[in-house]
Parts: sequence; structure tokens; C-alpha cells
Amino acid sequence: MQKKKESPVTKIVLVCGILFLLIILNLWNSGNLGLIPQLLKNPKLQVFTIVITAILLEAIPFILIGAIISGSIEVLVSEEKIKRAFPQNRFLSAATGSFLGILFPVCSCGNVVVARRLLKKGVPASGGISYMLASPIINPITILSTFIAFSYSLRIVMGRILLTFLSAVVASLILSTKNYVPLKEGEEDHHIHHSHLSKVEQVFHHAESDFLLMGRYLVLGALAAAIFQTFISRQAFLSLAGNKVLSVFLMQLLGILLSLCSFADAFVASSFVHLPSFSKIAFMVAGPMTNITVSILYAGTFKKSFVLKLILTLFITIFILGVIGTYITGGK
Amino acid sequence: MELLKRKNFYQTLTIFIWLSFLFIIEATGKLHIYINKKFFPFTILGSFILLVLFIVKLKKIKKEHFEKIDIISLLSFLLFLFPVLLATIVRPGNLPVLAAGKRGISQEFTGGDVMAILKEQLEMEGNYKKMNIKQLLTFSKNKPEEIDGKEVSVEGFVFKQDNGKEGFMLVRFLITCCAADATPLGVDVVYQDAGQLKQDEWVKVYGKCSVEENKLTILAEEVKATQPPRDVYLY
Repeated sequence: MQKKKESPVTKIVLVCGILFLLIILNLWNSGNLGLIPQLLKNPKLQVFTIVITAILLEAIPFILIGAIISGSIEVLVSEEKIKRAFPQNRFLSAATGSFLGILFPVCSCGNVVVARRLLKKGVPASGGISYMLASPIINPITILSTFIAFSYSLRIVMGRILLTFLSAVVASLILSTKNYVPLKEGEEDHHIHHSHLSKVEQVFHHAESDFLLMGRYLVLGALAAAIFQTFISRQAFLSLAGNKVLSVFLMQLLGILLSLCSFADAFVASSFVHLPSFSKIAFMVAGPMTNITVSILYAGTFKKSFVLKLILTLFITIFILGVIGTYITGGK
Repeated sequence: MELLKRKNFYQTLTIFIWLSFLFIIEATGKLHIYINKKFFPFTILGSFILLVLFIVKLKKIKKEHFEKIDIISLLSFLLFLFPVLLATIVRPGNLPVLAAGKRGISQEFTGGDVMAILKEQLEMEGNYKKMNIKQLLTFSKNKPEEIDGKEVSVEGFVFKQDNGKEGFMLVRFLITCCAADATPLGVDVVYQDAGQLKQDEWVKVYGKCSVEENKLTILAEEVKATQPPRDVYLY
């Protein structure tokens, strides 16, 4: 008689279950079971739990809103209409995409879902990419929060908009030479049969697929950001900034590692009072465009080589523009 | 058992778990530990969207063709489950003092609006004007003459870098969106009995403000232990 082969899923569940039981047994055997409540009060575990939960509680509603917008675009807007909304010239399309966030102020997590749908619907590659990169920053909410955080400093606000616009346009032009973006195929693309669903049900069906697909990358991103926020000291990190160039580099890196929402990062940036303005601007541009959470969302949307090129291009562009800005403003 | 092999069972369960988690956290009033009150409507909207997704998913779960769960989908389910389990088991309180040390305490605040604070009717506690750290730092940066020499009462938690025998730093977290962006704001407090205070202890300081070159110090006359307020963060 042929023996039934266990599926890999069953094996994973079994291994996890056995490991869990072994840990509990070991704690019980060593009389340390009572230590569990104490372990749960460990400050590092508390900070880690608060940060990961906070990022998710804040971002999941936006992912869901993005998923509903994305589903509505898929079901209710024709490809022709979307294509007509964007100029066909690559530069003009990139410039248009950069300012589209003024009409749709969705933060970076929800925005990747929308950008993915726009690209699938045939939006010119440069426009779709620049929309994805710039709209979390060039939108009314982020502009206003930057304005307030920096005591109504027009210089900082204009610097942030300019650096965002230039970085988004440069990166989208470099990465869209063949007007093609290598999107990963989503699971929903294979399994949706719409014949028996109403239009509203179709919107929610797409929204559900987008949420389940992008949500897992969001959890991974939040996990990585929470690890960094729990174990690495921001002050020790920035004490390495010995000169203007290094301060741009380190603030950019800090923006990536902290994974803050673009609506809030200006308040954190403004607390680094002694650093040059453009290193703070680099922090506020690199963060929303390339932070860990968003990068993992990109990895769920595009092919690996494209994501690597995108992040590298952005990092170099923001760094060069940040250093130029620092020298033009005399490091103030 | 057949149900446990279905991929859409795990997808439905994921939506249900997150829907329940959001609902419980909203209903028990724990949301303020994690996010700014201004963002509560978005979380409620998120719960509503999840509820609709759950109903739509339930409605069509039987209509969908059978698809067996694969490793990626199972790992994805576990990934979604992890933060919910973690928050349920750890049941975190407020951000501990460790976070203030890691993030670096800011003794300057540029985002405040002096005029808005001046318009506010600040409460009095005896001779002391009741203020918070954000208001004090806004004045010390932009209009120091408004607080220099004035008697204030202010609450926060104790942060000591060294032994802190002659003083300590009084700290509150300021959040814009969520606890991930919490920035610790602090003021130096000179207090002779500071040695008796414990790290992370919530206290109310009564004393006189002294501002020199926009740097604020409170010369404490009295420091009383207090319970953390319901809203531990400043917004």
C-alpha cells in the first residue's frame, strides 16, 4: 500500500507546535514558568510590541483605503481614460505623476497599492513611478505638517518639495527607459471570475486581494522597523555625523531605518536642531520614498532587480541633491 | 478537516482576526497607547472596511473553487497573526523610559504656536499655572519672557542619566501619528531631593521657571508622585 505523503504545510505546523511545546516543557521543568509575566514586562519587549502594533494600526486603514481606491480604479475606470489622463511624453508624465498626490493624499503604504493598479491599467511607467514616489510627500497634509513642525519655515517646505520632485522625476526617468515596469503578478490575477459578481462586489474582491497581498509585506516592514527602533539608539547613530556630507548620508539612512509616516516625520526631523537643514530634508525625502516598510512593499509589487535599482537610484540621487543643497545653503 | 486545507479559509480568518483585534482595541480604549487621537477615525474606518471585506468574503467563500493552502499562504497567515498574538500576550502599557533614552530627549521644540497657547485659558493650581512640557518649550524658544520667573505646575515622568542627586529631567512623549514617531520632550528640573525619585516615576513638579539663552530649567519647590494621566502622550 502506498504511504500518503505529508504536505510541507503540515510539516511546518507540526514543527512549530513541537518547538512551542518543548519551550513550555523546558520552562516548566526548570521551574521558570513563573518568569513569564516578568519577561513580558521587559522594557525592550514592551517598546518592540508598542512600535510594531502602532505602525500597523496606523498603516492598515491606509492600506485598506488604498485597496478600495485600487479596486475602484480596476473595476470602474477604463484603461483608455487612465491613459488619457497622463501625457505620453516621459518627462511630462513623470512631472504630472509627482503632483498627483495633491489630489489623492494617501500615505506611502496605501499609495503603493494604488500605484500598482495604475501601472497595471497602462499608465505610462514614468508617471506611475513618480506618482508612487512623490505623492506621500507632495500632498496637502504632509506639506502642512512640515510647515508647522518647522515653525512655518517656507525654506524647509520648498526644499522638501523640490528635493522630492527632482528625486522622483530623475528616478522615474532612469527606470522607465523602455516604458515598462516589471510588476510581479498578484495572486488575484489568476483567480478572479467576475461573471457572478456585482460591480461593488468586484471592487471589494480586488480590495481584499490587495489587502492580503500588501498587508503581509507591511507586517514584515513594521517588524524590521520595530527591531531598529527598539535596539538602536538614534543619538548614538547620529553622533557619527562628523561633517555636512556625512550628516546627509546618516540622516538619509536614519529616515530609511525608522520607517515613519510622511505625515509625521517632519516633527521628528525638527527635533534634530543642530543638524544642517538639507540633512533633515534628506531624512524627510528618503524616509517616505525608501524606508524599510515601503521597500518591502515595493518587493511585493515589483521584480527584485527593479526594486534594487529603484532604491539604489533614489539613495544616490537624494544623497547628491542633499549634499548640493547643503553647500548652496552654507550648511545652515 | 476539509475546511482547514482551504486557502480561502485562512484568508477569511486573517480578515476576521484583524477585524476582531481592531474592534477589541477600540472598545477597550487601548488605542491611545498606540496612535494619536486624531487618527482614531481612520482606525474606525479601517474596521468598517474590514467588516465589509469579511462579509463579502463569507458570502462567496462557498462559491469559490477549492484551492489547497500552500506554504506562502500559510506563512502569510502566520505573519498576519504574529503582531496580534504579540500585543495580546504582552499587553503593553505606556512607552517605557528606555524609549526616551534610545530616541534622545529634545529640550527644544520648534513646532509650537505661541499665540494659540496665549489664547488658551490655562488653569491655576494655587499660585502655579498648570502647563505642559510642549507649551513650556514653545515659550522658551519663541517668547521666553512669558515664562521666565513664573511659577508653574507641570507633570511628566522622571528621567535620570546619572545618579541625579541634584536634579532630573522631566519628560513627556509627543506623538504626531503613532508611537513609532514619539519624540521625548524634556525640561531640566533642579531639585535637592531628586535622589529619592525613581526612574520612569510619574511626578508633578511645582516650581519657578528660569530661561537662559532659550534653555529652560525649573527650580522645583515641590515634587509630588502622581498617577500617569489617561493621555500619556502630548499631541
